[in-house]
Amino acid sequence: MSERVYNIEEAPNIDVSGDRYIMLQIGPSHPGSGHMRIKVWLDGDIVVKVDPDIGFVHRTSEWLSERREFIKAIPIVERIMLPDTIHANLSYITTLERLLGLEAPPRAQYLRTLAAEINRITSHLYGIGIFGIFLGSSTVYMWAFGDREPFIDLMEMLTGARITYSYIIPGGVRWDMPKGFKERAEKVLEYMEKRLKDYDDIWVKNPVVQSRCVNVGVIDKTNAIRLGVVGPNLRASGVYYDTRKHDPYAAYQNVDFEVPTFKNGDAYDRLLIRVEEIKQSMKIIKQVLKDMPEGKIIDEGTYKQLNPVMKKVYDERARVMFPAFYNHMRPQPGEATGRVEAGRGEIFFYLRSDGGKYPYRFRWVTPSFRNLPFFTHVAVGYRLADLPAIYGSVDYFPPEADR
Amino acid sequence: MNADELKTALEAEGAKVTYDQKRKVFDVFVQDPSRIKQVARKMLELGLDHVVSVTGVDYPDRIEVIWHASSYSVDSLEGLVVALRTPISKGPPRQAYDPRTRTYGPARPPLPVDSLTDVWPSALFLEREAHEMFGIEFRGHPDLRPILLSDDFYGKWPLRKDFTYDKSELKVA
Amino acid sequence: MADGEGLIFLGNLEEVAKKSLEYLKKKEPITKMVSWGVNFSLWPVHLMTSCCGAEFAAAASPRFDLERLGFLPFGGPRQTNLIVVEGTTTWKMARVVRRVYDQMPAPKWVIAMGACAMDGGIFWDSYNIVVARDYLPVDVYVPGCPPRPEALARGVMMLKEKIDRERSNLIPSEQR
Repeated sequence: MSERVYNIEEAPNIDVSGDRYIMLQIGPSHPGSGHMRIKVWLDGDIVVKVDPDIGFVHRTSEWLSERREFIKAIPIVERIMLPDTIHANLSYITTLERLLGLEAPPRAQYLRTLAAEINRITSHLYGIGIFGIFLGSSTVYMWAFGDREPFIDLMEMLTGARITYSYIIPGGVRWDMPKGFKERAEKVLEYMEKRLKDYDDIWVKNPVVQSRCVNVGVIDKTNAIRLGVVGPNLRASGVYYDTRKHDPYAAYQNVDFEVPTFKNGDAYDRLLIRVEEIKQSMKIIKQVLKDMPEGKIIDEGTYKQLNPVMKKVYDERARVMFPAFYNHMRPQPGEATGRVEAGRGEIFFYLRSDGGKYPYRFRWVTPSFRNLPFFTHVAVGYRLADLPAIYGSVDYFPPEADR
Repeated sequence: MNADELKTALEAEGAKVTYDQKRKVFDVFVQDPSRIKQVARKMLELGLDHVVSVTGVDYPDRIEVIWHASSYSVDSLEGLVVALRTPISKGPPRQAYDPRTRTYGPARPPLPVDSLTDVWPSALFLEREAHEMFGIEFRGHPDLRPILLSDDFYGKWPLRKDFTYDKSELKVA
Repeated sequence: MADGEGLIFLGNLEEVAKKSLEYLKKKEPITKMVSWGVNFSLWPVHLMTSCCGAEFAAAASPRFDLERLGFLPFGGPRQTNLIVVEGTTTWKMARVVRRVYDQMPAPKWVIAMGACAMDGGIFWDSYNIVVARDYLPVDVYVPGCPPRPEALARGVMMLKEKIDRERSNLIPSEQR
């Protein structure tokens, strides 16, 4: 087990220009770094300074969205957060609905919650699988990616797409729950519960994993707050904060769930919290399936504007066809903000409209980008051999950070 | 501390505060850019302990810098995102593209404003991004390098409304 | 002996050996064997360029398991012969991709995965985007946004067919 050599507070003040320190570049052509380059300054094999060189996947989503109609930003924000698309979609629509003054009916809110929680499980399984690769365990990668597929199948049944759903629209959702979905979801949850026990045996309680993760990459509560860490990484440091509880959206005020927190804030806690959150998500899915209210899946105002053919399609198949007026939305001048708890943390949206067809300012910040200052601090003082475990435990997804 | 108390406390600092609960906008407008650090310190004292986003908005006559702050430690403030907003006047507009010299004229200098990284360290990377996208020079920022874009676009400030670029200038190898 | 290009195996032993090697390299059993071998060792370099990498990872996972087609991601570019451009490349990334491609030993192939690698996809008018054909000789395009893992498998099969079709070019004539 490693111990931290340098202090987080003093490390940024070390001058790394001398002969004593060497600089190592990791990535971007490297299975461990993903789409980023990590510059690491080493004293022997101890990490003194970390400088992430990001932006390799900066696709200018803000610039593009300011040049598109409001509705056309949905696919763009989805592509940025590929393992977690529904949350990108949901956060944008939540903000846009605030700007437009719309509110989705209860059934649509429940369907959103359902889709979001299924997606959270796939996102966490993705993170666990990639963490497995970082620690050299292909088994866990194979297991996690294999077990992700039943959930992706569920989403495919619900929305018709494998990963990029574009399911949530202003005022509601596009499809109702298909027949047989509930039974299938229950089957998948039952399977996953069994599998989580296997994960415990082979991965979570594995002494090798514990020896590589316990007390590695520690960040305490004060520093976590100071550096603005988000999501599971924040809760692993003992901060009780979850946007689903503190700034509720969709149907989260109606469901009962816990926000798991841990104390140490090391890599192992960051692994445990993802497993715990999968359990909580399954709990939410069960409740949502049980309490799903009857009713429309789109708000009354939008339904009235559908033309007769679209109304017929809606009444017969519970499917909302995209009417042309979506393309001509012109929100009142003003601004709105919105926050959503995605798999990796909190997404923040800020929209400003000047009354025109396009957003005047389209701003969004993704959880991975907000975890960057934390990542530069957390690896300092540990050995280079610990860097994969630390980086993997952060669950950093570079395209999401670069936007 | 609730939203109303926060409002009175920040109004005492000389800021113009508006709160729109429906659109979730808590707006703290500071007319004088030299006073933002003082207001930010007050906000930190009141429990707004981290920054969610730092960005600019490009208006025809000014650029507004916005720090969105929120709280992890004070329960009643956790549902709020407080926008600290200040305007800075814009420099001269960029010249039009001159096909003869194949340039846009000299690069425009960034506009200075105080950095708030010493109040909120979580703004470190967010301010770097705002610098690169809007050309805002955060005075006192420890490490103001471009972060997301390659050097080709540095100095062109892409998210300003008058951004133009020439694809023929760019080369892969 | 149809083409009859200097087929006199006489004289200096070293030269004769070289000549006969060149001759055999173009002949059926050898090329067939090489193409079969290359076909089942298509090792893509582990370089993720964009979000299609998520589906690339899914393609290597148990349900789709492209390893049965001999498709196994590798870390170092020196050991690989295939580069999959997964989606959008920015200017910053394109320079890296090009450098990695230059480091790979010949013969090597390129798969452009996703609509963004073909013509920019949904990000077509962004200032920071460059399409794959502008800096790499692309062999197979896989459409989709993102393509399903099955689509990537189909792309790999098409690449295999192409390798088999052009098998006579597999061994460079100047053997180093």
